[in-house]
Parts: sequence; structure tokens; C-alpha cells
Amino acid sequence: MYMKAVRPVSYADTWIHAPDVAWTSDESRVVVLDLGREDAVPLALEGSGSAIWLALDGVMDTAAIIDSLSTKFDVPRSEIDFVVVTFLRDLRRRGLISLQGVHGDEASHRGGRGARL
Amino acid sequence: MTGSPVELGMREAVTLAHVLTSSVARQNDIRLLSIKGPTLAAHGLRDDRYYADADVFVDPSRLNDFVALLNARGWVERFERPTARILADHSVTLVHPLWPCDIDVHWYFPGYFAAPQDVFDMLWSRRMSMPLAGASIVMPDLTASASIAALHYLRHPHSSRHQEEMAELTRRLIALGDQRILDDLLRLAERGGAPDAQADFLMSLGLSVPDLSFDPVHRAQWFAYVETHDDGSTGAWLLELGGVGWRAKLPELWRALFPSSAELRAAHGGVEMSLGERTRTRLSRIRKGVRAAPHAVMVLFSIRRAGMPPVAASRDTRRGG
Repeated sequence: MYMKAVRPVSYADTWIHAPDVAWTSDESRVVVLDLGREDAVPLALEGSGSAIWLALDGVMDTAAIIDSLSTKFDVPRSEIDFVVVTFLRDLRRRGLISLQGVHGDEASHRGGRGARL
Repeated sequence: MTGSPVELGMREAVTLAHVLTSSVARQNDIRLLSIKGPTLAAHGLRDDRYYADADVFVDPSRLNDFVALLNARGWVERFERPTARILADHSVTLVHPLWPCDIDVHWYFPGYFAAPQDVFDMLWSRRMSMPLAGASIVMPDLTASASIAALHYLRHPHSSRHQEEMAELTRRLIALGDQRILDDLLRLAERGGAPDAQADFLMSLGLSVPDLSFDPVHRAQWFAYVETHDDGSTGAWLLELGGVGWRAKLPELWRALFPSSAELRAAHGGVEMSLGERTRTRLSRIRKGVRAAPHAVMVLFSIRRAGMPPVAASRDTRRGG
């Protein structure tokens, strides 16, 4: 499994789908394909994973995504905080998402609200 | 919540296959057009509905390069037995164990009788980009997409589904109310050498095809092709048998009727077949050929009666580029 080293996720990070990634969605799930790798296989994101993917609009930062999911699934923010951050880090390690406005991996280490995870 | 490898639904697979092929081509400077399927829906030429495969049209001179690139991603060619054909083979079908859909890589499209490279260049000059699945694909413009779709439907004149699709395409083109598009369709047919295949379609749009645009050889080939290819290769084998000397007829007939064990094995995914299975497959093939033969003979006689030029069987010409 392809994984790259990435810096910790910040609450202030704003995310976009990586440019070489194709994805399609329906009511139940999102299927993602990394077009840049010969050995890539399609990955399915379901439930909250699908909701997070669809929230990566280049506008909402990590904190806003957590707030949005907290409201959508009616669960306390504290219960999903870690899960969302871990998921974003995993997507980034797989090269499926990028930081908005940051060209090249780990080009900067921006400050943010709250703790780094 | 972490993503996991997935069993793709057909719609997901076809969508992603179009984007995948487009991306591979772009990364390697290969000209490629997505055709049929979602591109027709995007142009409003048919409803968005179920698709069984992803069709792409690749620059004929780069066919081998493109197939090799997809081979590197795990897509392999479905075996197809070398056979007689009325019109030359036109596509490679690629399959992948993790994907439910095929990718049909065309390097020419039956019904365009101009040289494959000229046809591709003509369609490429009409390309446009379409966003799809968070990426983009390149497809022919509306007129060229309609022209390709018409040829596809016209290949199966006795299929009720294709008849309905043809009627729907015609209705939608007329509903556009744009004579420039219809005139453009006629020009495209003439440049691509398709008036003989598309004559009825063009006339149903109110277009008059100049007599000089027709070619009797193309008309005869197209008629023989569409009237026989849905029944398999019987018509093409009969043509081939008619075109060889008496000494060659028996070996040719043998080759037509009795595929070798190696060919049968390849056609069954490389799995060895028992003697019984091989015999049943061969008998079934002969029965099918015998059933199709009377109609094929009638078609070939009718071509002769109508004074059309003789039609010759074609050998596979793929990978010429």
C-alpha cells in the first residue's frame, strides 16, 4: 500500500481532492481512484468517510468539517474529532487529498487553531 | 472509515474507466477520445442510463502504445479468434479482474470507409473537454458524437433496441432545430466516407446526399456486413471460401469449422477443456454456422442480383500503425 510521510493535520488546514484523483459518488458511497499510480485500485469510502470526502471543497477547514459532520450525524464534536483527523491524515498519506494552496508535499507547516494530532 | 478496495458497480466502473483511459492517454501524449456511453448523454443525444463498457477511440498510430500502458495497469486483451471478416476488425477489448466493465479500444469505426487515420484526425479536430468524476475526459463534439452513435446503431439494423435508439437519436437531432448541425453531419459523413452506411439516417433528417458521395463497393460491403455479422462469422467465411481456389477451399473450410484446441483454450480464459467440452463447443459452432448459412447465402446472392460489386472477406488488419 502506497503511503507517504505527512505532517500532522491542523484544524486550520483546508483540503482539496488531489489533482490526479478521480472519484464518483452515489447516495451510499464514494469510489476513489488514484490515476497517477499504475497499481492503484479503486477505494470505497462509505458512511462518514463518504461525507468527509464530499466536504473537501477547498473552503471548509478541518475544524469546519468536524463541525459539519457533528451536525449531520448528530454526534458530539469531541466524539468524531479524532476520527476525522485520522481519516484526513490517511487520505493524505495515500496521496488522495492535498492542502489547499500548498503546492508540493509538506511545502509549509502552517499554524492552526487547536492541537496538532 | 478508512477506504477499502471495492467491488465496483457497473456505472462506477464505466465512469472511472473513461477517466482512467483519458488520464493515461494524456500523461503519455496519446490522442484519445471517449465515445458513446456518457458522452452521448452529455450532449443530450440520449438519456443517461446503464452502460456495459467504456468505449474509446485512440489515435491508430498509437494503438499498441496505449494498449501496453493499460496492460501495465492490469488490463489484458480478451482473446478473439482470428477469423474472416467482411469489414476489418475495429477494436481491442480489454478486461481487468477487479473491474466489471470492459474497455473497448477502437482504432477505427465500421461504416467510416475513409482511412482510419484520416477518420481519427477528423474526429480529433472536433474534440472538446468534459468534466467527469472530478477529472476530465476528451470527447467528440455533438455532431461527431451523433455520427458515431448513428453508425453504431446502424450496425444492428434488425435489433429492436438499436432501432429504438436510432429513432431517439433522430428525434433529438431534429428537436435541436439547428440546420447547421444537420448540414455538418452530412459534411462529416462525406469526409469520413460514411454516406453509404448512413444514407437512410441522413435522409431521415431531411438531408439529400449527392449521388457522387456514394460508393457502390462500400454500399455492398456495408450491406453484407450488417446483414450477416450479428449471426457470427458465417457470412465472412462464405465470402472467404468463395474467394480462394479449389485446392484451398477444404483447408479453409476446416479452419472455419474446427477451431484448434489452443484457440478453444484461449477463448475459455486459458482453462484447459476436456475432450467432451471441446467436441460440444465445436458441434455447437457448426450448428450455429449451419443455421446462419441460408440467410448469409441469400444476402450474398442479393448483392450479386442487385448488380453491386463483389465483396471480399477482410483479414484482420489491426495493429497496422
